[in-house]
Amino acid sequence: MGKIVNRSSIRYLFRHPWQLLLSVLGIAMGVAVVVAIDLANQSAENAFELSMDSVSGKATHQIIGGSAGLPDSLYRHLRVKHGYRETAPMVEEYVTIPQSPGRTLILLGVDPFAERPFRPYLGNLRVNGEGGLGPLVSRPATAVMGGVTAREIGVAAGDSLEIQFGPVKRKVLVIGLLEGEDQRSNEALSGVMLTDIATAQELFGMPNRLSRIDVIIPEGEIGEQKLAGLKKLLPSSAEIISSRSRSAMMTQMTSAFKLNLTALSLLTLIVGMFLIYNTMTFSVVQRRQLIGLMRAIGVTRKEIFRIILGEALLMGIAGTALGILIGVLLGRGLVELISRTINDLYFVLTVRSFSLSWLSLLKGVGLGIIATVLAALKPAREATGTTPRLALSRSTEETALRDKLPLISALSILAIIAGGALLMIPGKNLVVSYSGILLLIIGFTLFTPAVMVFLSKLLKPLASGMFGMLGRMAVQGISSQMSRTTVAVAALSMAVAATVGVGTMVGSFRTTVIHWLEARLSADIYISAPSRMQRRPDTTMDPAFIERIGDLPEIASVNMFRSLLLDTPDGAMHVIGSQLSKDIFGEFQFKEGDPAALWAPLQNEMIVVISEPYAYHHNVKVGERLKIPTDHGEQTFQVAGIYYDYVSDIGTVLMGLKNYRQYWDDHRISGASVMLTEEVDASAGMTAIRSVMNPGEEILLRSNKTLLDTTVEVFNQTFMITNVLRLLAIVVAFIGVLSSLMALQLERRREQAVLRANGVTPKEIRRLVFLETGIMGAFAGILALPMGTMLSYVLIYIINKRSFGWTLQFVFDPAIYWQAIILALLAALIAGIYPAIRMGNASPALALREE
Amino acid sequence: MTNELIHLDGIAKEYQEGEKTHSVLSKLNVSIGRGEIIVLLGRSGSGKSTLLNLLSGIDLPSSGTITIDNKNLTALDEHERTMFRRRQIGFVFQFFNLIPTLTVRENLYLPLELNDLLDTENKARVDDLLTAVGLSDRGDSFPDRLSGGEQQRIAIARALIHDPLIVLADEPTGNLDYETGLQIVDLLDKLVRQQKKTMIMATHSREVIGLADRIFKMTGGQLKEITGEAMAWEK
Amino acid sequence: MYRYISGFIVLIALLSGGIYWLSSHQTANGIRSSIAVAEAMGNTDTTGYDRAIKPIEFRFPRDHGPHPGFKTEWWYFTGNLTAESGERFGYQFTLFRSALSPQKIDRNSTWAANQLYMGHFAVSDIDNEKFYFFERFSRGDEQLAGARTHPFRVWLEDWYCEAVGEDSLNEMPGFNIRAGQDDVLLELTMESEKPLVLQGDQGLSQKGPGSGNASYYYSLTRLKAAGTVQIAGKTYQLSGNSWMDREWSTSALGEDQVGWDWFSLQFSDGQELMYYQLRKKDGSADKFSKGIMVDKDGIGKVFYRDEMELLVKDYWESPLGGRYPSGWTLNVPGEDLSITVMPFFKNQELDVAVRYWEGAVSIDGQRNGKPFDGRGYVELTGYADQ
Repeated sequence: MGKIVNRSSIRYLFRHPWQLLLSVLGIAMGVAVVVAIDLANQSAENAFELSMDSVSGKATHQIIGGSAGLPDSLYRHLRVKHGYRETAPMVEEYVTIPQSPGRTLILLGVDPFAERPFRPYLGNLRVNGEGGLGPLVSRPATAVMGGVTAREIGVAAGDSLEIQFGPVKRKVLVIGLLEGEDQRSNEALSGVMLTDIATAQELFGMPNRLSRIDVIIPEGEIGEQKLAGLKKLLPSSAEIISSRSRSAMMTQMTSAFKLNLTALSLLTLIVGMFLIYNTMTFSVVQRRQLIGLMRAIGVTRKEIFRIILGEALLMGIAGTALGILIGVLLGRGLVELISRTINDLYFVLTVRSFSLSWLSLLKGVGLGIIATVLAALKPAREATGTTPRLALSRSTEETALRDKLPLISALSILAIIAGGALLMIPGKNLVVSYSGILLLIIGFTLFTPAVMVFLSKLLKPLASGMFGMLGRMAVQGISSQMSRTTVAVAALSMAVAATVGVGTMVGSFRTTVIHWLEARLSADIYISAPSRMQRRPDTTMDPAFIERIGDLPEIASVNMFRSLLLDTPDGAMHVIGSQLSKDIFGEFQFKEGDPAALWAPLQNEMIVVISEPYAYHHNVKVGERLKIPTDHGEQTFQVAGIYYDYVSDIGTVLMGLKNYRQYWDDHRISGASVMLTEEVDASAGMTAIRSVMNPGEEILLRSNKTLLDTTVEVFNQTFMITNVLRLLAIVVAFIGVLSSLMALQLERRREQAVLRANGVTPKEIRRLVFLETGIMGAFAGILALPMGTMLSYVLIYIINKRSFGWTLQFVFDPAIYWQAIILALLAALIAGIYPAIRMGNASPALALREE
Repeated sequence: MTNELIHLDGIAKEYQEGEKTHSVLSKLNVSIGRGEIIVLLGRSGSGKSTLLNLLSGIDLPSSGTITIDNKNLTALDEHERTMFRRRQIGFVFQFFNLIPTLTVRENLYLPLELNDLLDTENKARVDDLLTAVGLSDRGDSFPDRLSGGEQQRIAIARALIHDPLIVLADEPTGNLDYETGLQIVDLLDKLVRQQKKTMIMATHSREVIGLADRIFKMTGGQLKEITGEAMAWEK
Repeated sequence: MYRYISGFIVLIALLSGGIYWLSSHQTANGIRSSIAVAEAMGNTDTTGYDRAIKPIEFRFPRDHGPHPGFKTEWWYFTGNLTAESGERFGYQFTLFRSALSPQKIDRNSTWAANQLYMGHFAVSDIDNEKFYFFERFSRGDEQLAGARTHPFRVWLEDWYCEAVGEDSLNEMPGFNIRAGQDDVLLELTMESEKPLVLQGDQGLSQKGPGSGNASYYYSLTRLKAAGTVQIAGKTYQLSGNSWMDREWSTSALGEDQVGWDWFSLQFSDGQELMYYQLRKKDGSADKFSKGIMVDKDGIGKVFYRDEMELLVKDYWESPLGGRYPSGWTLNVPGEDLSITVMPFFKNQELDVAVRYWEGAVSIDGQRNGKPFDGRGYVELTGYADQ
C-alpha cells in the first residue's frame, strides 16, 4: 500500500485531534499504571535483592540460632577446630537514625578478616597500613557507612552519629564511607552500616553472641559432605538454612500482595482497551462513506483492514510511549507506597531503590501495543465489511446488534458461569481466581446492551413525561445508537464497579479490623519499644523495666508478651509467648476452640493456638501437631485452637509465656499491656510508668484509644496504594466516557443541525446533550452496582482469603453505592460539557452544508 | 456485435428483506460495445445503481453472468473483483466523490498509486488532466475548498487518470445546478470521447441524453433500449 | 499484513533477547565499592609504639616471643627439603603480627583486639614445578590467632610454630611448625645446628635514614629440619635445612624505598650468606643494603652494599603483571667469592594481598677457586604492578 492512502489515514487522525488525544491518553494511562506497578514491584524486589546481596553476600548457607542468636564460641570452634574456614561471624540489627526519621539501616557487625569470600564489596576493607581501617577494629564505637546515605543525612567521615535500636540510643563515630563503583552498588550500600563485630556486640549488649554465621558450601558431593558434617557439629538450638531458600521465602511472603497490585493495574489497561475499541469503532463508522469510496475505487478489504489496524497501532505506539514515560514517573511515587506497605507487613527494606527494569518497560510496550491491536481488531474487521460506495444506513447496523442481542446475552451468561466456575476451583492459585474475575467482568459487560434496551424502554415514558419531546429524543438517541453507546457505558460501569468492589472490600476489612481490635484492646495502656515494622514488634525491652511497672501502686495488673520471628524450613514463623490474664484471653475471638478452656493448658502444656492466616497458609487444623524450632531443639506442640487475627498475614503461633520461656532462653519482652487501678486515669498511669523507665531509652506508651487510632491509620496507609489504583482506573474510564460521548455527539452534528434548523434553541440542544450523557451515566451507575457487589464478594471471600487467609465480614455500606451512582453520573455529565458547548454553538447551516 | 466489451447474460438481482424477496433486476441481457457512451434512465430505486454496482464488481448478481473484456466477472472472488475494479473502472458519483483528507492532486494520484503507476510520466498526466478540467491551479487544495462543480470535474479526472476500460457515472449532475450540470456533462463527454472510453451513466435528468450513443430505460427490473425515433424523441 | 505481523514478532523477540542479555549481564556484577577513610583515621601514625633506636641486649627464649609494643613483627621460616624418594621441595611459612593500636583497650567483647595476624604459607614442588601458596588473616584472639612467650607459640587458627615441648625454656629450643590448607599440609620439626646470629649492629638493623627506622633482627641460618609434606593426598618424608628470620620494628623503610631483593643462601661447604638489597624508586640499590656471612662455626660477618656486587642474569614476566629479576651473579671480591643463583623454576609468585615473589633457588659458586653448590631462598618485593 502506498504513501497516499497512509497520508489520508494520518490526516484523518489529525483532523480529529481531541479524539486522537483522548485515545492516546487512554492507552497511555492504562500502560502507565501497569508499568508503574510493575516497576514499583520490581524495584521493591530489586531493593530486597540488593539488601540481601549486601547482607548475605556470597553466603550459600547461614547458621542461625534461637531467640538469642548463637554463642560466638561456636564460630571459633567450627573454624579453628574443624577447619570450616569459609565462614564468617555476623552480628546484625536494624537501627534507625534519629536525626533522619524514617530511615532504617541494617548494622552489620563483621569480622573484616573473615569477610573476603563473603562480601566482596568489603574486599578492600583493608585494616592495615595507610588508609586502612585499623581503628574500626581497635577503637570502640566506630562504624563505616554508605557514602550516599551519609551525605543525605549530612554526615561526613569523622563525624559522630546517633543510632537507635528498639528503645536504646547510642553514638557511633563514622570513620569511613563506602563508595559504590556504580549506581547499583551505591543503592545496595545505602542501607548498610558496618562495624567490627566487637563493636556490634558492645552496642547491642550481646557479648559472646552472634546473630548468625555465614557459610559458603561448595556445590556438589564435597559440599554435601561438608554440609552434613557441619550439621552434626551444631548445637540443638542452631540450624543451618540455605540463603537461597531464605530469600525465596521472603519474596514468597510478598508475592500475593504484589500479584493483587498487578491485577488491579491490569484493570486499568482493560478499561483503556475499551477506550481504544470505542475510538476505533467511531472512526470506522464516521468514515463509512470514505471507506465505501475507497472500496469503490478499488482498495481491497485487506488494505482497509491494514489501514484501520495501522491507525490503531500508531495510536498504540504513541500511547505506549507516553504511558511508559508517565509510568516511570508514577512508579517512582508508587515504589514508596509499596515499600512502606512491605515494611509494615512483611520485612524491613533498608534499601530504597528505584530501578528501571527493562523487562517491565518491555511488558508495558507489549501490553500497550497488543491491547490496542486486540481492541482494534473488531472495528477493523467491521471496516472491511463496508460495502463499496453503498453507505449502509446505520439502522441496519443497529438492527444487526439487536438481532445479536440474544446471542450476546447468552455469551454473557456463559462467561459469568465460566468465571464463577473458575472461582469455585479450590486452591490458592490467585491467577486462576483473577481469570475468573476477568470472565465475570466480561460477562457483566456483555450484559450491557440487553440491560440498556430494557432500561431505555422503561425510561422512555418517564423521560418524555419529565422532559417532553427532548427527553424522548435523548432516550431514543441512546438506544438507537446502541453500537456506540454500549461501549462507553460498559467501560464506565466497569470502572465504577471496580470502585464499588474495592471500596466495599476495604470498608469491610476496616470494619472487621476495628471490631476485632475493640474486642481485643481491653487494657488501659500499651507499652512497646519503637519498632520499624508497624504490624509486628521486632524490638524488645528490658524485662526489669516491666517488673518495675508491676510494682507501681497505680498499676492493677501487667500482661506482657514476647514476639519472635523464626526462620523455619516452611518459611517464617511468628511465635508469641503471651502472659495474659484469663479474663483478657477469654475475650479473644476464636474460630475454633474455646479460649476460656484453653487458658490454663496454654501456660503449661505442649499446646499452642494459631491465627487464622497461619492455619490457612500452612493447612494446619485443630488437633494437628506443629514442629517448632526452639532454643532447646525442635519441639512438637499440638494446635488447640484457631483465633482471628488481622495483624499479620504471615500468621502467628501463640503459646503461654511460661511455656515460651521454658523452651527459649530469652527473658526479653516485646510489649506489655497495663490495667490501671480504678482511681488512676491514663495520663497519670503513663506518668507513673515513665518514672521507672531506663534513662535514655525511648518507650512508646499508648492508651487504648490511641492504639486503636494508630492501628487504623496504619491500616489506611496499607490500602493507600489500592485507593490510588482505583482512582487511576476511574480517570481512564472518565477519559473513555469523555472520548466516546464527544465522538457520539460530534457525529450527530447533522441531526442536531436539523433540529436547530427546525427551531430548537442552542439551550435545548445543550440540555439534550446533557440528558443523553446523564442517562448514560445513570445506566453505567445502575449496571455497576450488581457488578461491584459481585466483585466485592469475590474480593472479600475469595481473593482476600486466598491471598492472606483472612475471614472478613461483608459490610454493606450504602454510601459506597450512592457514591458510585453519583460518580458515574458526574463523570458522564462532566464528559458532556464540551460536546454540549460545541453542539450548542455550532451553526446549523455549517453542519447541514457538510457533505 | 464485433467490438463487444460488456456482455450481460440473464442477470437477475434479488434482495432478501425479512421474509420477502424483493427483485430489483430480472433477466437482463445486454451487450455494450467498446467506446460506446450509454445513458441509463430510470426513476430512483429502479435499479440503476444496482446495475452499476454489478458492472463494477462491487456486487454479484443473484444469477446470470457478466463478461467484461472477455473476463467473466461473476466467476471472480471478492479480492479479484476489487483488483479488476481498481484497474479497469473509473467512478463518478453524485456527491462525496473525493477523499476529504487528500488534496486534489493526491486524489488523482491515488488510483495511479493503487495500480502501481505513479511515475513521473503519469504525474505529468495528472497535471495535464487538471488543466484539461480547468483546475490546474487547485491541485494543492483540499476538496472542501472546492465548489460542487469543481469537485465533480476533479472526480471526472480521477475516473480517467488510470486509463480504465470503463467509466461508470452515477447521477454525476444530480447535485448540481442546471448550468453547472451542463458544463460537467460536456466535460465528461469531451474527455471520455477524447480518450475513447466506454461510459455508462445512470441519470434521471434528461439534459445528458444528448451525448448518449445508446439510451436504456430501466423499469420494473427490465432494461429497455430506446432506439431510433423514440430515441430522437427522448433527445 | 502477515509480513508485518511476523516482522513485528521478530522485532519484539530480538528486543526481548537483547534486553534479557543486558539485564542478566547487569545483575552478574556484584556490589563493588571503595572506602574513603577520614584523614585523621590513617594508620601511619607511630606515636605510642616502641622504636628500634639502639642495640639492646637480646634474651632468649624471651625474645623468640612477641614484642607487642612494636608495630610490626614476624617469624619467618624458609627451607629446602628432599624427600626420601628423592623429590625436592621448598617452603615458606611466615606469621606476621601487626599492631592496630599501641595499647589494648579493655572492652566488653571477646572479639576486641588490637593485633592483626597474617600468615603466608607456600610450598614449591620443584620437580613438578608446582607452586602452592596460601594467605590468611585474623585478629589477635585466644583461639583465632596470637603469640606468647612461655611456652613459645605463635598461631593463626590451625597454623602455628612453637617450641618443642621439653626444651621450650631453653635459650635455643627446637621448633615445630604446622601449616596446611586445602590439600597441602606441612609438618616439620627443626633444630638449630648453629648459634643464632644477630644481624646488623648487634641485632639493630638500620633500614632507612633517621633514628628509629630500624628493626631488631636475628637469624637462625641453619636449622636441621625433618617432617612430612602432604600434597593432594600423597605424603613425603622430608629432611633438609631451614632458615628462620626474626624481626620486629615500628618503622623501617624510608620513603623512597620501593622494595627489596632478599637472599638466604645455604652453601654445601657449611657456610651461609644473607643479603638484602633495598631498592630505591629509581631502581638503584640503597646504601642501607647489607648482608652477613656466617661461617661453619656460626660466626657472622656483616658486609655492606659497596663490598659486593649483584648482577641480574635473567628476568621473568609475571602473567599477573610485573617483571621480576630471575637469576643473579653475586660477587664478594673481598672473600674471593662468586656465586650464581637461579630459581628452581620461575613462577613462585604469591598472588596475595600484596603480591611478591618468594621461591627456592639453586646455587653454584666458587670460593678461592673451590667450587660448591647449595640451595636457598630469595624474596623479591615491589616488582608487581599493584
